Amino acid sequence: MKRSIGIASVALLLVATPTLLPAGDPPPGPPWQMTWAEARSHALEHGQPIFIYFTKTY
Amino acid sequence: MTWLFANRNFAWDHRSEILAGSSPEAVPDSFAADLEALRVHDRFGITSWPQMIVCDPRDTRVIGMPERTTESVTALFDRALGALTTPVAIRLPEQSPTPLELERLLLRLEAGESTGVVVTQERAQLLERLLVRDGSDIVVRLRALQIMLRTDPETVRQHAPALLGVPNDPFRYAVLGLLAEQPDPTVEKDLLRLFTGAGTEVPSLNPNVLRINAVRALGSGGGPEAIEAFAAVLAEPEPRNYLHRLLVETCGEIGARADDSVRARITGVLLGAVPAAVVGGADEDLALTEDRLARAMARSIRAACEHLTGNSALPAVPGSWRREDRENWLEALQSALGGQAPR
Repeated sequence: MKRSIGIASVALLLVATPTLLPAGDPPPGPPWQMTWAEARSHALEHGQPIFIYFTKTY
Repeated sequence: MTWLFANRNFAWDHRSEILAGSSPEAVPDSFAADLEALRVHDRFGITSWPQMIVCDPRDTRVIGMPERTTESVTALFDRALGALTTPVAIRLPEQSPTPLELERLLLRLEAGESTGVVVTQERAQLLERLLVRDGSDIVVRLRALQIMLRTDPETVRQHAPALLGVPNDPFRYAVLGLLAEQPDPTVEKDLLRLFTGAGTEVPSLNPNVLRINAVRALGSGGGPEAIEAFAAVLAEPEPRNYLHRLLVETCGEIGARADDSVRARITGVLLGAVPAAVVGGADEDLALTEDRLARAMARSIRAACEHLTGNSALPAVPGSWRREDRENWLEALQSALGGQAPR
């Protein structure tokens, strides 16, 4: 139950806030990795899937 | 869940301005972050924003792409968290250059174009192996392709049919860009397969752009089969979609060198692509935009008909696209084309 609430909170942030964030900053909340190698290594180590959020700033 | 943030600022795309005469030997910090994000985009074929993907870290298989709703994201998360229980053999990295090594080589080639930097034969063979090997890391494969487009486009062209089958949009766009510059009639069937199957039989995250690139590569090289594929799309003309204007222009180019029967068919397709009249509503700005886009498409149709027939006295497109304007213009155009009707 707690996990579902956490996921829902993050999902809401991702869906609702991208255009409001400072340029190039990830949404607040989860511990974001900034490189593919770090993310993959972390995910393999912990047996987790990787959520990737693709954005752009000009 | 592991979280990865891949944000592009497009510094890499502006590298020639950023470098501006400085040494390309090291990739400057100013676009290192963008290059890292670009590699993740290229790995998953992302060319539009924002996008979200959940993948399996063991084989980088995409588990799902949620829609932009909280329900869709949470449903995918729940599915993904249960998806890692099946064992998967982890592929060890092959002995090959890293993307960064190839990006540095690309920079050196770009900077040295005027001074004749060359790729050694040994390295050229390595690049070709990376390009064609199905098991190569897709980012390495794409960088090898980008280098070979500068150093050895002929070899890329020879491999084009196989390369067009690689299920990655940035990779296919790069191959299609070469074919747009150097048309090759032998790949017409491959191009039409991309055009007709984009987003269905040909998985793509940006099928409209894939179709646009395929049509540019096809150019004037298409035949009757291409016209029928285009006709299926133009039967429901959509002036807001650039693809439809491109199809009209390409019909004109194909028709200019086709025989009479094909030309008659193309004329019918073009007349069938005349957009619907604009019906004014409460939103005046929207109606003005639709009017402008519909007339732009009509001008493209007129130009294509002129290209097709050599007749430069076709009626000019009117200043607005209400029902009466459209009907009068279409009637005058059909009359000038010898009474041909849409088909």
